[in-house]
Amino acid sequence: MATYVLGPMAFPGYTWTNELSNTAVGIYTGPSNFQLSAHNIDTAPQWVSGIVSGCGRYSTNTNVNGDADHDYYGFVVESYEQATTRLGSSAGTTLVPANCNLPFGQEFFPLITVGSTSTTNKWQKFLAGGPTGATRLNIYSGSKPTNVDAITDLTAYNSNLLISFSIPAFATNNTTGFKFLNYDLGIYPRIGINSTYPEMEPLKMVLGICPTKTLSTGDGNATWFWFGNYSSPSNLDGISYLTGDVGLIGSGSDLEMADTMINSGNYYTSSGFNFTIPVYYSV
Amino acid sequence: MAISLSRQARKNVANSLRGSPKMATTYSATGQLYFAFIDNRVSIPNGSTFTMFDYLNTCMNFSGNDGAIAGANSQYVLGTYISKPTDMPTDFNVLEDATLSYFTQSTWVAHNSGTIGSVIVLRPAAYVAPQELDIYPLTIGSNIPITFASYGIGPSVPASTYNGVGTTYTVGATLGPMATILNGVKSTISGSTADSLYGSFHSCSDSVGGIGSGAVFEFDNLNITAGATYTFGGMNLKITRFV
Repeated sequence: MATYVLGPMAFPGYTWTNELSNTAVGIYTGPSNFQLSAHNIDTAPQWVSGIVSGCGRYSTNTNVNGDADHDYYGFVVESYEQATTRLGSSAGTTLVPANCNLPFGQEFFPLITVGSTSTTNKWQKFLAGGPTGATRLNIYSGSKPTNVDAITDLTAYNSNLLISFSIPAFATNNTTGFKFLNYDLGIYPRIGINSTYPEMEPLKMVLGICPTKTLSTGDGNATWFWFGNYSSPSNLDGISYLTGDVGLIGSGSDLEMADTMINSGNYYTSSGFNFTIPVYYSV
Repeated sequence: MAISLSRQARKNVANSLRGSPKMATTYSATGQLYFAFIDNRVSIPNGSTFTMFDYLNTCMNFSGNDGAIAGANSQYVLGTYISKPTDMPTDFNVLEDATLSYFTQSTWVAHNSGTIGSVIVLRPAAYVAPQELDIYPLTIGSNIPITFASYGIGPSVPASTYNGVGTTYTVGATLGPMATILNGVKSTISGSTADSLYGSFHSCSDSVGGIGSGAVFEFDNLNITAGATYTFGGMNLKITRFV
């Protein structure tokens, strides 16, 4: 069986030292064009693109968003912690990458952003991240739609909605929003490949973390969930979201609960569900 | 059980894998992905003792047992291809079905003879605006023949810039000399070595086959003769599942 192997999930910080880590330092997607001083993002691209965006600051010039930060898009480019370490306290997580819609009209977004505020209204393009409430984790009873693309109107499933968690913004202490399980993004040497770490690791995350006590609104047996951007629940066209199965702890379900029976009027919190971007694919 | 991603989410993933079209236009002379066609004498790691490091190290790195060209390992690189803007589909809706489709019928010239067994994909090194960079003295190791630049994946650093202290250049990645530009690029803004300016390993696959075969990488011919021109049919990848 043929194999497709995806490179390291994170863009490196500055820590590679020798050997092959110099050439295998991360999935460095996007325009492969990273400029160190500020440019208008629409005239001189400067970002790295991929699954997860972060951002840091390289100069005090202003980019298209009116922020001083530069955009990094990446299979996780760097964490807030790393940006802060590397760039000082001015490193920000507040920037939502502007879309790259020129010259082909192609909107270009990562999957997840650590950004939490922005002047650009592009949250709907992200699967996770954004300000508090930008994404939701909904738990449902009944049968999960077999085709994820068939879910065009989330409100059509309201009769089976048991509880809806409004997901807080990403917190650098991994307590809200989402967290990374195996990368301290950027600095951590495991993102590179070298003789000491000769294999890559998948990117493992937990999405849908909501420590806020949330009132359940329905009664029933939780069987599936919807997670994603909640800016337009009645029209999911162009919205990033996902679905998965719910089961008891140890069941191997995508989202596990101690008790899948939900009673309305009770309060719940969510510790999230695992989300993994694998390295090896059979093709 | 598996998590299913929506069309937009899959599109984001596919875009991320494919890269932005922006760069390809702005920097039309450069490429977006660099492909190295690897001889089938080197196998994709199978998860056992032969690791990804071994694979890449054998194909790309400058180790001490490198065959005909000392330090270069070039015997395993049958040829390379640098993507161009015109290789990319203009209808990006294709990505919405999570199918990453790259390139059509692009020709390349073989450097070595052999049978293609796998493909390594690299992102090029970052391209930096000339006015923002200094090139530190590039240490080209004695075991790295300059001629290897001809095998480079991506534009190599011009010889005239090897010691271009204080001068400004655009630097690209090459299969070989890429490793040698370590510490070679400095940001005049931050004053520190530009840590983000290196090419990187994107992916690899041993799914190779004829054009129309549906393999990840399609070729008109897998049996390669040095000096001959061949067609790189494209790259296909379908994103279906995240768990």
